[in-house]
Amino acid sequence: MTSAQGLLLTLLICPWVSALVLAFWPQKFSLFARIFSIASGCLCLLVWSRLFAEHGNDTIPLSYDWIGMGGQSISLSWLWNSQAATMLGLLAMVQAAVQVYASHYLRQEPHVLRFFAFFQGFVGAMTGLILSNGLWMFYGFWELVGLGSYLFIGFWTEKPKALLAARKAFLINRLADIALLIGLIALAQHFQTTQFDAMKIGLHGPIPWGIGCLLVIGAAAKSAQFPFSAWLPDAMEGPSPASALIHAATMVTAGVYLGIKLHALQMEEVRLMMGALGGISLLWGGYQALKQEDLKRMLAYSTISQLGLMWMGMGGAASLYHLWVHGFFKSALFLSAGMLLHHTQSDAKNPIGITEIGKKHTFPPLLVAWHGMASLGLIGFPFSQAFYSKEGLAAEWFMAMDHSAYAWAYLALLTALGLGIILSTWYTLSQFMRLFFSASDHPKQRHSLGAAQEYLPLGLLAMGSLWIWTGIDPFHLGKTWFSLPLFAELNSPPLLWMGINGLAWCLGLLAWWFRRNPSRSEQKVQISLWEAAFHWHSQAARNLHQRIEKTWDRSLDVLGKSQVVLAHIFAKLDQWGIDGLLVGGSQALAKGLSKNLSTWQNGRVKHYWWGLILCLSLSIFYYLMRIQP
Amino acid sequence: MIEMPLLSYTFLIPLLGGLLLLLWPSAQAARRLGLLSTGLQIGVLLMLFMHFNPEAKGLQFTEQKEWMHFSLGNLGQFVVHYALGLDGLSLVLAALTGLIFFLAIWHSGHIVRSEKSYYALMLLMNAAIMGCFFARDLLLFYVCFEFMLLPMYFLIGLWGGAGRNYASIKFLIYTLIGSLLILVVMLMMGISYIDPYETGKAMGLLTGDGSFGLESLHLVQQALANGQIPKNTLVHSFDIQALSDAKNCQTQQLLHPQSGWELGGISARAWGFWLLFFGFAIKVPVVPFHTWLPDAHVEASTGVSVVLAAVLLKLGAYGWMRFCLPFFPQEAIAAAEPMAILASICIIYGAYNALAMQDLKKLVAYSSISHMGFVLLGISAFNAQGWQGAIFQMVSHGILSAALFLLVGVLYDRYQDRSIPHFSGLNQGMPWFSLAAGLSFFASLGMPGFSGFIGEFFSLLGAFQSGLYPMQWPIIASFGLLLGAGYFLWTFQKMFWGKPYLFGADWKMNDLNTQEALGLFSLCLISILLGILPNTLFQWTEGFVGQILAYIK
Repeated sequence: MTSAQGLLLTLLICPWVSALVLAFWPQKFSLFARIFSIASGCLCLLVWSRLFAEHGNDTIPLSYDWIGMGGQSISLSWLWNSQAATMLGLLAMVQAAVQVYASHYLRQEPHVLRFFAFFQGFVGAMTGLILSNGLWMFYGFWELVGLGSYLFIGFWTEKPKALLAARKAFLINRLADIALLIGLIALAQHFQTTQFDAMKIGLHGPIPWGIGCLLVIGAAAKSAQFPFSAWLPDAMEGPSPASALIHAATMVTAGVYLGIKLHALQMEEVRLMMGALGGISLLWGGYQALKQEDLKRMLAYSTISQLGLMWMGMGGAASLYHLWVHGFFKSALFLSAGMLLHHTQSDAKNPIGITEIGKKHTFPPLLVAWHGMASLGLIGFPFSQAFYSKEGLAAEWFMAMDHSAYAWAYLALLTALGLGIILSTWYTLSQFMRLFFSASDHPKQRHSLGAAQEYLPLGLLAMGSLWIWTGIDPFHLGKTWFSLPLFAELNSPPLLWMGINGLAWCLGLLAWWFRRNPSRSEQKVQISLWEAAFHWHSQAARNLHQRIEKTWDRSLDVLGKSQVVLAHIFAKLDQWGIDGLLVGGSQALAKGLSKNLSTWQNGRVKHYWWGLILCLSLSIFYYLMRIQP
Repeated sequence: MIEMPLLSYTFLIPLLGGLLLLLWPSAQAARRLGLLSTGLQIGVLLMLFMHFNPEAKGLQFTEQKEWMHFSLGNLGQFVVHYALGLDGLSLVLAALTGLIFFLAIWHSGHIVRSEKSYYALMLLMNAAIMGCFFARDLLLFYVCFEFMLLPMYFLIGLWGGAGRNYASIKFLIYTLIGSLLILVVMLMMGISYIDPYETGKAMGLLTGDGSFGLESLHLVQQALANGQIPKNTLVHSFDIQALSDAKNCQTQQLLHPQSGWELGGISARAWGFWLLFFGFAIKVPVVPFHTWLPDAHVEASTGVSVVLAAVLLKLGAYGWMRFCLPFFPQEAIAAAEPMAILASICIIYGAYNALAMQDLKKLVAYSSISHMGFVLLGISAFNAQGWQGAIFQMVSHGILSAALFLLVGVLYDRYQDRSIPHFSGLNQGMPWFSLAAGLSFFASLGMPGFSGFIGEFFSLLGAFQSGLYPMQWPIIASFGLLLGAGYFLWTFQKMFWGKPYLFGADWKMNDLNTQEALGLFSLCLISILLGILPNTLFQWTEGFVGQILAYIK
């Protein structure tokens, strides 16, 4: 084993070991548990940095025997490559920052140990998912990160809404996972291998569209894409730090990651379907985000929308780049939202909307600045990395328009992106201005910055969305000390795009300006299709049990009991028929016969003689008759 | 190779233990004696594991004694052996049996009425089940199979809940019907087939050193096919190996592949296959022959339901793998699609019924039906993945259903109530109990990292890759994963999360005591171990699966 493989193994195992240790940590020393967990998170970050610095562009395989079956073997095989390195980097940075944040944010939470144990477990599962090279392991970790999400959404087990949301998230994901499972099995069948890196288009052709669609459907639920997006807004019932890591930066991007892994193998039609789902989610999510009054729900819809953008990249380099960037600004926004909600003491019983927060509270400038920085990242303004990632997306489509037979589809994607930028500018500005710059008649409550454990990670993540990491020129990607391997694959769009982008910003700005004081009606209670489906199924189950199961059981019962009845009938028959008629009859017959016959044996010789003569004459008569003819 | 008759030891230890227990003057020692015997048995099983060679062909640790030998006059002679043997499948299931019985006795502390007979019956049943798994002679198997019913009948009928009489009779009648089907086929085969080895011996074909090679086998079978063997030298037996080879069938018999006999368009061999199949299906149980199971489980006491779910159901699937499919390989392959359909029905139907249940124990019982459906699905695939998955699922279900029934037992011991709506927020007052429940529930719904996932996954994988039937059946079956998650999550959230609430005013939340915790967490640990390192189980059964599939195909 080389040192690189050793480091990789550390990365894989470290979170699980920490999770185990934390699970058995005594409740009394919860402070040390938090420190331990942060240390473990930082160790992962360090290991990742070392690996990234030395092997950023390399591939490192790592494989162990796992199952031998029918002559073939299924091994635990891991693969570090540039894509995995990028994903892991995001995971390592965000989890370390979020842990520092959570150690203070959840200091009064009685189950803080459980939080950190779950957290480490989730990080372990996500690391496994990212590094998996075998299909079945990939599926296994895919399910496990779903479990992590479930446990965090339902973290406050006494909140009924949280429980509903947790179940909803898990079951919607499980439903799509069936498609994913079937898709993966078919994929293995198609390429005759169970390793991602062994799948080559040359010998077997691209993935057939049926399998491709199954995989896309499977990935759609995890990434909360249309039509499976309903679970993500409800998932905000969980603690904010968990939302920042799981439902903004990492787990929800697992679907995109699958798209990235299979990018080169998919047919163009399937890729475009992915893009179409992404486009719908982008616009729908953006539109919903406009209407939200709850800060976290608004961020969730914005996440759906941004994930849609990654899907529109169809798993190309720009997809991955946007995934990376989004991880920073969105987790920063979630951490910021957590702080705002804590400051304003908003909770489940007494939720405080965006407008109300802005009207009653003022916040320190540093917090406003960081929130603003992350918001600019969300818009994709110049001086943020998202600017490049959207450029990269547009460039890919411009290039594809020249070659592809589906030029219209790429044009539609470009249009959707333009509309999406209008929407994101609009809703982001709207929430930012409402939060921090609302006019109010009453004096506002002033808040201090709070603890450094909270605002420092927030600041670092917000800074992460800035352009400076990629070069000095804010309009072009450059080579600096820190450059992701994927930069080499990004292209620049024609200058026309700059114009479109600028126009979209202006339109978004105008839209916000003219609708800046909308009359917000009470949110309507939405009839959740999902709840209806769940209810329908449990009702159907009850009907099935009542109608079929009970009927069947009863009819078998009747069959059994009829045997008893039959037995009684036989018993009666036996009593009357055989015992009564036959046995009794023969008894009577014998009695009667013996009575009558006994008169014959009366001992009188004269009677015997008469009998003898009668018999003799009868036999003589018989013989005479025989001789006659 | 070890020289001791280890299989007989495994079989006899509980019998002798039960006898000792009955003769022992004090009833207090009964449980301890029971634990001692099953503990000893586990020791012997460990020795079997140590000396078992997973790569060897055929059966190991074989023992053979002549049991009966009589002449049938014109039909030839009959010989019945006390013949035991072990292969991967038997080994794994016997190990499961040993473990589960130990735990079931461990958790029977609540039995206060006539303990002596309770534990003696438990041990008797243990011996009969071990006999079933080791028997190499169909008659011996059948005797053990039938013999197991009686202790079970009494265990449900004497120590059960309110409806115990109904449930125990139902169980007995159902299973007897199954046995009847098996008996019919067994007798048919016993008369139609000859034992080539014994016949060869009667014909004087054995060489000086008493060996009987392949050549002699072919000679006997050739002579049989030509009708050259005199009637009175034909020797019949119930030896499994002899019955597994259609060449041992006499030509004029109905069961001969070329007999051309049909009833209702179904050949005699297909009749044999389906009768055997359904005979064992009642035990598994397969929908629509399953209605004995919820009643029996609900009425039986904790230890008995654990044994019932974890071990007894496995006997049905074991019967398929050991007898039904190898006896009629062609018919079995032809029946792959009906089997897959039945399996899908089982999985979905069981899961839907579980979803409708308010009684936790009934829910677990229906989930058993759903999970055993995956065993049938794996078997119907007739490939290594499917069969390994099916065996794995059998063991995994054994462990998890035991854990689930123990959990129900913990609740019932405390509150005499099992209704799901009567509990809420148990995680606040009973954290360890909730942890054990969470682990078992998530393991049962097929979360990766637990054994349930491996079993269901490989069964499904095998079914998808089998090619004997179209894909829609495994696709339908895979929705069982969703339904399973549905009812387990609903139950888990209802009972363990939410605001703390208990139905009875005087109920108190008492967490697990050490004894309960030991049993439950050891089961959870085994499930996790198997889930992470499935090869710990696969390595033992790989040889068996490879050989039997090569034979069937």
